[in-house]
Formats: sequence, structure tokens, C-alpha cells
Amino acid sequence: MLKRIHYFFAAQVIEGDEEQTRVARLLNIILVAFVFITFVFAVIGPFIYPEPYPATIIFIVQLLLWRGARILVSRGYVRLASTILATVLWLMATTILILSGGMSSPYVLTFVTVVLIAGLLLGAQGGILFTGLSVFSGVVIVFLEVNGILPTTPWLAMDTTFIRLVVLAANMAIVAIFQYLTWNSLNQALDSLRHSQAALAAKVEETQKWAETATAANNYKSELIARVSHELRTPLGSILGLSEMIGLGVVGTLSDEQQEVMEKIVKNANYLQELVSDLLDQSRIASGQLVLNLAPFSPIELVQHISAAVSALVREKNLDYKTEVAPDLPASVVGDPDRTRQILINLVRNAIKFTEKGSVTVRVYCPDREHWAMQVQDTGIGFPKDAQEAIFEPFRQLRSELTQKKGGVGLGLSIVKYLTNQMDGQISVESEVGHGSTFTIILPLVTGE
Amino acid sequence: MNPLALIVEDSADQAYIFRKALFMSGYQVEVVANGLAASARLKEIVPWLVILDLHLPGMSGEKLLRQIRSDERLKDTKVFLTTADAGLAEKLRSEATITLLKPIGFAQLSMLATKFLPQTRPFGSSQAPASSEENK
Repeated sequence: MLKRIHYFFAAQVIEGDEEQTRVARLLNIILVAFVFITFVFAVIGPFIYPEPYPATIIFIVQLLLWRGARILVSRGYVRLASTILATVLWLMATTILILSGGMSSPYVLTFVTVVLIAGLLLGAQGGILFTGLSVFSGVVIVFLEVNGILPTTPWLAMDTTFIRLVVLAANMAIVAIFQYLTWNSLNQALDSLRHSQAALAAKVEETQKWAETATAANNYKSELIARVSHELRTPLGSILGLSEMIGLGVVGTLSDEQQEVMEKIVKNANYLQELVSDLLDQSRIASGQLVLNLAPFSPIELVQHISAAVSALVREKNLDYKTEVAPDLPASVVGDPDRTRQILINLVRNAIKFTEKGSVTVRVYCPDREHWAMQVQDTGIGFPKDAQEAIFEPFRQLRSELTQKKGGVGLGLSIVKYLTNQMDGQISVESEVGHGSTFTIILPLVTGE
Repeated sequence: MNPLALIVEDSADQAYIFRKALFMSGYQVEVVANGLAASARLKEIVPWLVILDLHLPGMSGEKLLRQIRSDERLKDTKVFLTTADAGLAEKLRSEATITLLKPIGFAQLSMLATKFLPQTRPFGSSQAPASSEENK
């Protein structure tokens, strides 16, 4: 029973719209209050009014308004219901005023309530609109009075001191109620704001925690790779050195076959060494620990060193290896010699790796007065245009079956790109499937002097 | 008597490779495996060449390098730094005779060690060519 009464009187909720729900609740409170007040007037009307019917009619109008508003609100028309209520109240106030003696009627106060309710339900614009309408009603009534259209004795003779008092009290009560409601909803809005602020702060904190966890995990990963790589390098260094000793015959002469096997061991150990060093570089890049050490160096010597370093590989595949050094290239440039060497050797090794026959050409030259460039051109397998971005990503290699044969974890070019960027340089590539690729690195030219 | 080389290296296998390379280049070789022992030994002897690993137990290679450089007796001693850390190698480059990035090849070290042999030998200059003859 109580539940049913509660349901009958309770405000409706507009799903997913807090603002509409707030207005619907206000609307409900206002209408219930009016129904109650007009009910009281309808009951006590016969005792205070000479004409009891208007109070009864007003009560019935309010009751209908209330139930009608509920139906509209339940279909989501909160604003329409509010507008209807405000309009009906304004019309009623105007009518009562005309019927009860014009501007001298105690009911003139009712306009205050109309404007108040319109403002509450429809916002500032609604308040202004109904202020205008009320002023308009007043002007019309004054005009009627001045021109003698309004009867000098009102149709409803209700201008007694007692009625004035009752109407004043009723309007004051309504103003007080609405003032309370305004403050209440303001406080609620503030509360909800504070609540969402707190929720937001909690979310931010949570996000920060996640970010920290992610950073820690990433650092751990980089650290792990760095450590593992470092630990791998020590025994690898020994394997390389010891194998070299055997290969050179330092610890005894080898048969031709033993020599061949030894060369294979050295080749594999060297390859492993490169992988480990690439992994180490990649982890340094990921943790931002890879820094450049600037020093003057000779680009010509660099090219010579690289030619020497890859001579065995070139011979093995029977490739034509050419170097072209432009005559205007400065004898010395400032940069990171080790990292520049790493860039060039990576490109040259890649070129050799993906070229079965033909040539690999290394060029160093000055494209303009502020730059110098290293270019590696091969006549190898090449790659399609749409892969030109992907080849610079870590762990990316094209055509998996092919690269499985070629080996490599696919870090070389990503490191090359990173180092080039760190040096404020630019990398570009031109390639045609079946015809070969050309990688060009352009670096800022800083001379030693 | 051949010039003395001191190898300061904690990895026994690396030390073996260095020892062999230096021996075959005509040095007499001593090996110490930790920084403190090396520091003590360097107060007793005047090596012609020190092969110094930067990552050592006991006392860091960097500190040992400073000790060598501040010791008047060792002013002519050549120091080859060996490390896998390119950044550290770069930092100490000016204080060492040569910095070598690991992995260091046998042939590479032999060649460099030969290059830095004393030009005029105080004791019997014929000894060195004889030993290098043996290598072939």
C-alpha cells in the first residue's frame, strides 16, 4: 500500500539524463505542492470565499495538470510538460486577476510564483519569457482598467483583509519552498560535481599507477635484454678469440678440412656476436640509453675499414664490390665514428645478404655544402614500394621464407634509422623488386676545424 | 729479456687469449685476475705494457688506470684498455694508449702489441725477430 502511494507520488527518472531527471523531480514537487495547496483552498474555500467554485476548479485543473505532466514525463517530454505548466499557471494568474478586480487584487502576487516556477523549470530563458508575459498581462489589465472595460466591481468579490493575508501567506510559502528547492538542487549539483571530481582524481591516480607499472615492466625488459646480451658477449668473445687462434694455427697446424670447419665456427660465432650486439643496441634504444659520442673522423678511412670488414663476405658470394669517394669530401668530419660505422656496415651487410649476383656499391659524397652522404646500392632482390616503411620497424623482415634462409632478427635497419635520426640525418630508400635497392643516408656536415 | 706485459683480466679464457697473443708477439707475460691484486703488483713491477679490463672485481679498471697515470715510475707504460662498453671506452680514450672494444681478436691484439714493442731493446735486440720468426 505504502509502496503504491509512493509510486503514485514519486518523481520519474529519465534514464541516462541527470539534468532531465532533476527537472522532472522539480516538476513533480511543484505539482504535488500545488495539488495539496489548491486542495486545502478547495476544502476551506466555502468558509472563506463568498464564491467557493473557483478554488475547486483550480484544484481540479492542478490535479489534471499533475497527472498529465506525469504522462508527458514518462514519455520523455519533460520540457514540454514544464512549458505547459508554466503557461497554464500564467493564464490562470491572468484570469484570476481579471476576475478579482485587476491590479488592486491580492492575486497580483501570483505572477511572482509564475516567474519563479518558469525560471526553475525552464532555466533563465524561461524565467525571462514568463517575466515578459506577466508584464504583458499587467499592461493589458491596466489598459482595460483605464479604458473602463474592466468592471469597477469585480465579478469575484474577494478583496477582504483576510483573503489578502491568505494569498500573501500562500505566495510567500511558495517562494520559500522554491528557494529551498533551488538551494537544495544547487547543493546536489555541487555534491555531484565533488563526487565526479573525486572519481576523476581516483581515475587519474589509477592511470598513473598503470603507466608506472608499464614503464617499470618496460625498463625491466630492457634491463634484462641488456644484461643477458652482456653476459652472452663475454663467452662469445672467448669463443671468437679461441677459434681465431686455432684458425691461425697458433695452437697447432690444422688439416684443410679442420680449417674449413673452423671457418664455419668463426662465421657462426661472428653472426651470433652481431645479433647480440643488435639486441643490446635495441634495448638501449628502447630505454633511451643509447647516446652519441662525438669525435672527428675520416669518412674515407671509414669506407676503407668497411671494405676490409666485408671482403670475405663479398668473396664468398662472388659479388662485385665497388667504392666511390667524391673528391670534394672533407678529410675529416665530426660525428660518432663508431655509430656511423655501424650504420654503414649494417647497410653494406644487408646489401650483400640480399644480393645473389651483380654488385654492391658504396658511395660517399657531399650532396650540398651542409651535408655529406653515404649511399649503398645493390643489384639484389629489392622490395615493393608498400614495404618501404615497414622495413625500418624493429623485428620486421619481409618475405619470411626468404629471410629464414638469410637469417637475422630484423633489427639492423631499425637501428640504422634510429641512429640516423639521432644524428639529425635523413634516410631514404629506392627499391625495385628484382632489380635492387639503394639506401641513402644524408648527415649534417660538421668539419673538424 | 723480453719486455714485460701485465694482463689484468678476470675472465680466464680472455686472459689466455691475450697471454698467448702477447707471448707470441715477444713479451713476457704476467696475468692478474682482480683489481686489488693488480694494484699491489703495479707497485712492485714496471711493465712495458698493461692490458687492462675495465670491469674487474676488487677495484675498477678506471681506478687502476688513474693509479698508473699518477705513478711516476710507470710514466712510459703503455696501457691498452679493453671493454665492451663503448661509452666508457670513449670517456677514457685520452688517458689510455689504445682503447679496444670487446670482442678483441687474437690477430688484432698481436698486431697492436707488436707495433708497441720497444724500438731499441736494452737486452739483446736479436731476441725479438727470433721469436717472431717462430710464429710463422
